Amino acid sequence: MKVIYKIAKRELQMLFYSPIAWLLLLCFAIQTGIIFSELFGSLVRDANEYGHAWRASKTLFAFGDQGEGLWIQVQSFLYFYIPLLTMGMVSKDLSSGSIKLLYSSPISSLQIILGKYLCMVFYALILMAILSIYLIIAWCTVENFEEAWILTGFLGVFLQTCTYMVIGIFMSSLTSYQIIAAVGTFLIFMLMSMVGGMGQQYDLVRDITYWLCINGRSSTFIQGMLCSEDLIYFPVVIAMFWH
Amino acid sequence: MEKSIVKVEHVSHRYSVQWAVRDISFEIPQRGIYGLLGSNGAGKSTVMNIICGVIKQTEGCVFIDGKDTRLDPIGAKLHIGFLPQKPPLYGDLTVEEYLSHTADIRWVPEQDIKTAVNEVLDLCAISHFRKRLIKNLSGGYQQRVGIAQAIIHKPDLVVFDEPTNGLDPNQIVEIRHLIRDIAEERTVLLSTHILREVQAVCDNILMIEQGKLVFMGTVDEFDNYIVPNTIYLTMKNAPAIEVLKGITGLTSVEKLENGAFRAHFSDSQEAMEQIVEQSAANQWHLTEMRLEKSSLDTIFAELSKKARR
Repeated sequence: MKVIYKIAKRELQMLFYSPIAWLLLLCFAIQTGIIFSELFGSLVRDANEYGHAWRASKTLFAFGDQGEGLWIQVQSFLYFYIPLLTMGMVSKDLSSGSIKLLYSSPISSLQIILGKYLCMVFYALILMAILSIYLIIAWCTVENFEEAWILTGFLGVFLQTCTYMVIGIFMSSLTSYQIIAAVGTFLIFMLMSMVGGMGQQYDLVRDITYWLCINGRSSTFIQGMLCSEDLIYFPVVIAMFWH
Repeated sequence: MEKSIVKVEHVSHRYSVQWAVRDISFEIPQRGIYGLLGSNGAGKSTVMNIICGVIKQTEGCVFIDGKDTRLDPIGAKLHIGFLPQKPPLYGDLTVEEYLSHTADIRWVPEQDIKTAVNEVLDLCAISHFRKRLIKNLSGGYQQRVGIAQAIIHKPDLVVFDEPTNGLDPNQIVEIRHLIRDIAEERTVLLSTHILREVQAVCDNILMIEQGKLVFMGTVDEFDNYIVPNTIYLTMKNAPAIEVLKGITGLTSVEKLENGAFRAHFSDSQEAMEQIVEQSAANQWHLTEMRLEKSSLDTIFAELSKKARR
């Protein structure tokens, strides 16, 4: 466990020495900030105009009269960020030859990958920390804030991010070219999003494709439902790409 | 019987359809510098990568200090320090950060890491660069950092894959000194295709050609691999070449520059005795007479040719 933590620490250090980690954090903060301020602004306008704002929690984070909320919008652009982060996780080591340092050290391949994944989970937590700022603002300002619903959606976004990351690391371990890893990750995300619309005329296929579709899973969380089926889905997908 | 630090048993490795290494077996006892010699593409790096656990062999077994690298890879790797052809460095870290990290993942106890880092920094003469980013160091110093990471955990076996590749002559001399210092306390296995390097640094040679082990022995044994069959002679008052050809034991004689001759013999002892006798009797003033050994290049070429057959 100690070795995994040490690898994760070194990976995180390396990640933040490169501008990509900072740039993506900045873009994420700006993009989510704009979305949240627009949603929040329209709620404030409604409140000023009508004296109250209906279903404020749902409008801000899930879906409401103003369109899609923050969690849904984050879910829709998250897959642009993750491949850029994960593309170099293993492929950079493969191309630079630094993987030989890890392979010739008394550590197992599983520990190496767990260390790299733990680093990505830390990064996901930083992204979640940015989102939690909006959550806290809403919690403090919205009357009768539906925290259980919104926190369930927050968990869904976090689990989806972690799943995207394991897929990204998997693709990165297949090639020494970072760009190929990024494009491959995009393709898998696309496939996992589109699979929900395939074979809808057949009952069995519809059930299977719906279950496989990643967006469908996290949408259930965003709708405020914490189903065991969805809770199992994410660890299963993570374990699948692990092997 | 002396305990072996490395034991390679019938190891073969295949990249897709082509065999890079075929049925190699050898043993390396404790201490000494072993040179893994071979031309480019002979399979040296593959053998080193297999020993260090970077790649898994297709067939055969490797034991490091008695531990099978397949059954107990972690136990085996604890005894190994490896410097690949391209040093496995993280350019964005400082020398100190990098070495601390390598000590960390090589199970150096937390409280000993600082001492271990200072020791290797001193040994590799890079203490003054400890706070410098690795990417800002010259090739020679990057190589030293690579060597430092390979010995930071005091392994019993240090494996260097072409350690002087791409260095200038001064750096090559310095790295060779460093390797000799390292070998005082542990076994060193280094690969090279440069014969002079083997002569300058190694005690023993393992030669690989076309994925097969074609020679294993001391540098002297390698040197004498081709039995000498010529005598080099110089005389102040040399006779005609026909006179020399008539000496018992010589089969042919050729004239070289500056009154020197190269004589081929059937029996070296008899031929040399006869030359001395005749020279004394005829006042040839023999100034030099020695058995001509084949050059290392010739032996290398001969062994390579043998492997190709």
